[in-house]
Amino acid sequence: MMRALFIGLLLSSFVNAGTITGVVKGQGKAEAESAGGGKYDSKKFKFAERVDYSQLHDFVVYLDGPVGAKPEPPKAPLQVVVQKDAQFSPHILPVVVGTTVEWPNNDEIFHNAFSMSEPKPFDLGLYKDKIKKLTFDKPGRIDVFCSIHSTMHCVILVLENPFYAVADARGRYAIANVPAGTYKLKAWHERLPAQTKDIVVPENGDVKLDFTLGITGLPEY
Amino acid sequence: MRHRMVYSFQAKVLSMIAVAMLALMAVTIWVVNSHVIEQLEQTAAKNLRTSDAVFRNMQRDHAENLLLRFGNVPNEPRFKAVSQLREVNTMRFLLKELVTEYEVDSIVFTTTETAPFASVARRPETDLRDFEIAAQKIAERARAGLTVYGTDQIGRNIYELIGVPVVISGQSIGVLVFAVECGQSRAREFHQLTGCDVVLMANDVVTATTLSDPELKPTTVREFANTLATAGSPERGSIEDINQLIIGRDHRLFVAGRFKSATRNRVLWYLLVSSYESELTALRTTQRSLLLIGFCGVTIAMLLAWLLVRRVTQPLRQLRDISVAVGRGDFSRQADVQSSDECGQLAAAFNAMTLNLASARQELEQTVETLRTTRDRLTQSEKLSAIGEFVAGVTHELNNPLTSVIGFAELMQQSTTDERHRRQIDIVAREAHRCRKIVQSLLSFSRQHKIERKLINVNDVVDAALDILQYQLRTGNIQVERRLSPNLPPVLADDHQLQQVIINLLNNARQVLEDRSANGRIRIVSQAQAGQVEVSIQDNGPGISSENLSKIFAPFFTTKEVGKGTGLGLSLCYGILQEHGGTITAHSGPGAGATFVMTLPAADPVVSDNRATVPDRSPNLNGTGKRILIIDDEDGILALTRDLLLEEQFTVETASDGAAGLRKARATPFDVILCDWKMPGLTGGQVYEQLRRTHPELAARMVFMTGDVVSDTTRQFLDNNERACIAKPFSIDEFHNIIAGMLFAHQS
Repeated sequence: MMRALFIGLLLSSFVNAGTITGVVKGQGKAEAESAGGGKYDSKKFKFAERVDYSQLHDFVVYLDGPVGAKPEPPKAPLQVVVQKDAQFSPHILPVVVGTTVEWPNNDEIFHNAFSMSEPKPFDLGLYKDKIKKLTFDKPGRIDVFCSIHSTMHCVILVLENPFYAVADARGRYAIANVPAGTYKLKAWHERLPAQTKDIVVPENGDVKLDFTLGITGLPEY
Repeated sequence: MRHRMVYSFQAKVLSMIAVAMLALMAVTIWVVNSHVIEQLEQTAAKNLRTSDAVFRNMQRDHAENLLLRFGNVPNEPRFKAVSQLREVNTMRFLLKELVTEYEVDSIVFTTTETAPFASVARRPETDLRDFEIAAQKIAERARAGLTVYGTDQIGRNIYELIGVPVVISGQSIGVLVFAVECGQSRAREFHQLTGCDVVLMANDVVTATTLSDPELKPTTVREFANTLATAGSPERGSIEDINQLIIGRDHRLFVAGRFKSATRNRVLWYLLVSSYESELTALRTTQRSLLLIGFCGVTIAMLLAWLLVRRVTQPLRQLRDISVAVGRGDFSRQADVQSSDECGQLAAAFNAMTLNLASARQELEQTVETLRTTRDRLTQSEKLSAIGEFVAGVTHELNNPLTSVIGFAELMQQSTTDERHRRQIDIVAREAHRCRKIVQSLLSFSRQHKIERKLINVNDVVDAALDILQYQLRTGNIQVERRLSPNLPPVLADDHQLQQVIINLLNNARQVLEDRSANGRIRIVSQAQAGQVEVSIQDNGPGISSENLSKIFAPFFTTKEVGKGTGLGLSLCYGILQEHGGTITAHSGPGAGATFVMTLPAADPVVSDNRATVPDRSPNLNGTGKRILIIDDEDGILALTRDLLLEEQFTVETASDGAAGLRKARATPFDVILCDWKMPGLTGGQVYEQLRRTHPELAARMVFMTGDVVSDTTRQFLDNNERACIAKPFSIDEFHNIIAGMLFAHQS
């Protein structure tokens, strides 16, 4: 699912604002990559799932924590997760707190959408030829499934500010109109540990910050 | 021929060994082969039975597994949720998911007894109708509330079907039927597990197999089908019989069994095919190597045997060669005695035999040579003897005329007074005497006479011998030196034999000297020595070699050429002297001539012959008044004797044959009857015999005249009757003497 660059619309009027750009990518440990199936050199990676890092997409980069005043949930356009061909689309949907998402079933068969995630547990029930709506008013990650189709899954990432971007197919991202200041910039992927980096956004102009997510960033334990 | 014999002996031994070894090998390989093949088949059959058991077990486990796996599917929330929706598309989608999840070939959900609610197949090209029909059958049984397992043929394949009743909140709403293909993958799995090939058949059609297409020909399939058709009852799990099958060149065994729980009236078979071809191949390889080793072994053994036989027969062949050589007469060859075994002993024995043969052959040759010489000499003797008899006959014929000649010549000597006539008559008388002597010598030489020992002077014998050989000695230019001792004592000997000895010795000397033909000289010495008379005859010839010296007295030993000497002469001499108690020895040095010395014991002077007492001459032979009858067929003799007797005043009667004489004798008495021995008609002997019977006193007065005394019977007769006898020719003195003797004897 290729995503265009999303820019927080509400902040476009800020004067003293910069743009954060960069590339985020996934990378495994070199040795682990070349080690072949199951032959990891360390216990640390023993249970790590082998992932084709180059094919990972749907990276989300966002400023961690609240920025400025509590943001207004956008009225339009509405965020939509379509059920089609027994799939949720898009697979990853970052939204600002308070956003309402529509769940239309475009298939000819029954579907269901439910989540057991702590920020927003819900169950839309089995339905067909209907559009259901749902508002996410707590930040956090919400995993959504279909009760009768085990392959259907999507993630709603509810964020505290509108300064986020979904990286494109090549991992490039750009967050525009970020007020000048010092922030924590977080790179996120549903299957990889997130990474947080400090960033100083100038009053005008770009700041560049790249991320490499992967198994190397696992915390020591 | 020879070689064939040799090789055939070797070939015999070798062929026997070869046959024995090959037979042994063949029997061994045959026994091992049959045994191993039987064991192979048994093992393969056992393996196949085990595989069959494994297969059935696997099927059962598989069925149980499937039941466990699918028994819980209706309780899954997804299925529960969807089944309650009663929405075909959603259900079909779910079933599709389940097909993928459970990896089954088809799932049919049926709620009614007539048609299925939803059916899904993993492969989109599958015709779902067949599945649905089969599922309905299973569903019928599952509706009772139990999970059901069954097998069925769907399309071309065999499927296992599991029917699971769907009960939602205590209410049965349908049956979920899962279809799992029991096909190629199952067969492969089993093949990997046991190594057996699997053929699955439904209604005589192969649905799955691990056999490749070339292996599974239609004929093979037909064979399977036939076997299955004649197999036992359908209820039995499997056919006990292990069946043999040949695919291509592979030997295989197979066993067949039925799938249980067929849902419809289908006959579903499985066949397990096991090849023991690899074992057979291994066996054949082993056989080939065994055969190879065996043949190598046999070849090596044959080679060794051949060498051994050659080695054993080598002495035999050598012996054969030597035997052939010996057979040709070459006794110089000897077999090499190389060992102490039988061959060596044989060779040694053969050598000994060859040596014996050689010496025996030499002896034989010598003997043959000796015999040949003897034969020649005997022939010669025979010839001589024939000549002797001839001479005797001739001399006898000569005797009668000679008697007349001598007698009349002597008469004329006495009567004639004419000096001139007298001289002429003397010559006639002397020459006649000489003739007489010659004839006598010839007679005495050829005569076989009884040994008669009398006292004789050896010198006389020597002279007589010299007389006989006078001519030859003179013509041979041989001087004879005669040194005879005049005072020799007499010896008691047979003068004829003694004369023969001396003649032999002189002859030998003469022959040797004649060969020299120059200055031949013979010295004869006689002397008395210590009661012995010794006569030595010495010649100046080449002498006798020392090696011959020891053999010269052996019979038939001669150095003369064949025909000239008999080799008997000296041995005869030796024998004669032995008889007389004397010796004869030969002395010689090379080139110094030969000397033969004979000794005779001197006679005791007392011993004397009674005949010697007969007076040599009766001076007063007076025939006056004396009557004498003369019987002779020879007119000359008659005339001579009558004249001689008339001269002495005898009254003489004559008769010209025996019969006439006998008549006259019987008619008138006679003082003496003079009778010829040999006459036509009655012989002198017969006359005597007849007269003795009638007038014995007359017979006693008979005197015989003989031409010769060669005949033994004559001699015998005269000796037996002690008859006086006068040999013709005789001198007048001799005649007078014998008449006087007879008269003297009957003087009384």
